[in-house]
Amino acid sequence: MRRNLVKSLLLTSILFLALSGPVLAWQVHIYWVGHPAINPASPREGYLDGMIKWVAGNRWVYAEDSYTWWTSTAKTWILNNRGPDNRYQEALVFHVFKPNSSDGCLSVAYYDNYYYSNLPGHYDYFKRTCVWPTWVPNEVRIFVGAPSALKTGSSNPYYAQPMFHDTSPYDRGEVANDSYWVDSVLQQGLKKDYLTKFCFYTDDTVRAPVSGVCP
Amino acid sequence: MRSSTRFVGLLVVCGGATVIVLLVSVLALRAPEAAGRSVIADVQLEGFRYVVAEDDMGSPLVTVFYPENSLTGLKEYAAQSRAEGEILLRAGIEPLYVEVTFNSPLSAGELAELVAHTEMQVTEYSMRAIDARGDRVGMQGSPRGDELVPAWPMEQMLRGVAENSGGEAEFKGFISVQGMVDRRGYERLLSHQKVFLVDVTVNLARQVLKVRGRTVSPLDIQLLMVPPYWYMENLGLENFQ
Repeated sequence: MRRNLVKSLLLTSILFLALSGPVLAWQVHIYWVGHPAINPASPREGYLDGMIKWVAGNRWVYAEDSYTWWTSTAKTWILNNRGPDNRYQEALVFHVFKPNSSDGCLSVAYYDNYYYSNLPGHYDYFKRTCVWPTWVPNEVRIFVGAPSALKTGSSNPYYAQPMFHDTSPYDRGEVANDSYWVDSVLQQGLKKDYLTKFCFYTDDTVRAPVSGVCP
Repeated sequence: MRSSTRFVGLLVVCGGATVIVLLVSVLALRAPEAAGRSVIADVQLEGFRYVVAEDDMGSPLVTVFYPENSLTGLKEYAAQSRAEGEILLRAGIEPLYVEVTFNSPLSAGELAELVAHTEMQVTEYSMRAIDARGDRVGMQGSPRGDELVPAWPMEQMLRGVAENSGGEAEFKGFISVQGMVDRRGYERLLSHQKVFLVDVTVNLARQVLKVRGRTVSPLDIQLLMVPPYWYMENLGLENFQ
């Protein structure tokens, strides 16, 4: 009982710290635009944020879509195409790859079940692009599960932030950001709109790509 | 002597070739093109429907559809889940992998108490916060080592929510939890006053896969659905007490 009380007090103090402490130190804040010709359900625009953070001897790569908003045209398309039971859904997708490749096989940073978002009715799906030798998920999809509640326009921005746990030996890598139209039953990306990416390095720096390439 | 050396050499070559062929076969089976995507079962029950499938890497997943905008429909989903849980237990299938949805947010202390009382092996949980713009925010986390709710990711997430919405965020509490329970833990969950729904679909999917000759741990099956709590809030949490 006492332990529970301590935990409750701890959470309360965490909340206080979160509201009064320093802001998150994003190392990159990269503007992107959606491509409705590729995925009509894509957001109009947003930012990809990235940073590396060390916690209790563990290296974490944080990624975030922020100030992300949808047009009313995109919302109408989503509602008209979601199919019976809302089977087809829009998702913000984050992949960890080796730099300048689509190789998730040798990546050591993996999705570790932590994320938050204000997207309506959201939930996540993770994918192991390579089961051997790493066996860990290098991709997470965060779904707009209740699209009828999606508010449109730039005054209604959304955010979604997954964390990737990076285990030693630390490597260079990139986090690629997409907007997918997905068959949720088969987890098949039917329309894949690439937005942007950021690059991370062994010295704990994070950088924006130069002409689309990690320097 | 020369012929026996040749024989040993031939064995080595054949053995090596066999290993390579086996390796290539295994890798080919795991390759996206070979595995493909397929629906394994599409089951309509009285209160909900579930579809068992494999993604392009061959990983099993189960998607649940339920009557989300209906108070009666959500209650039927909960009742049918309970009936399915009883069927599984009668068949001697335990422990069960469950997703528990609460009818109001739990504090960290209440969650710890529930977990201790049911001896649940927790894999993940979801929390609710309200950001400065009044949006509902969902946060997902999982235990790390002995810590059911580690402090630092919570701090980071809440700070991120506050920062993204340009003001204060209000932490409401824990709204769902996933994990393994034995029969006694399952029964204790069902009788808990803050538990509305105990979904057992992962176990149903596991049985479907087993019938088709594939034995997997429940932890290997991803459960996909729009969180019922979202629609319970829309319909009024007081209707689910």
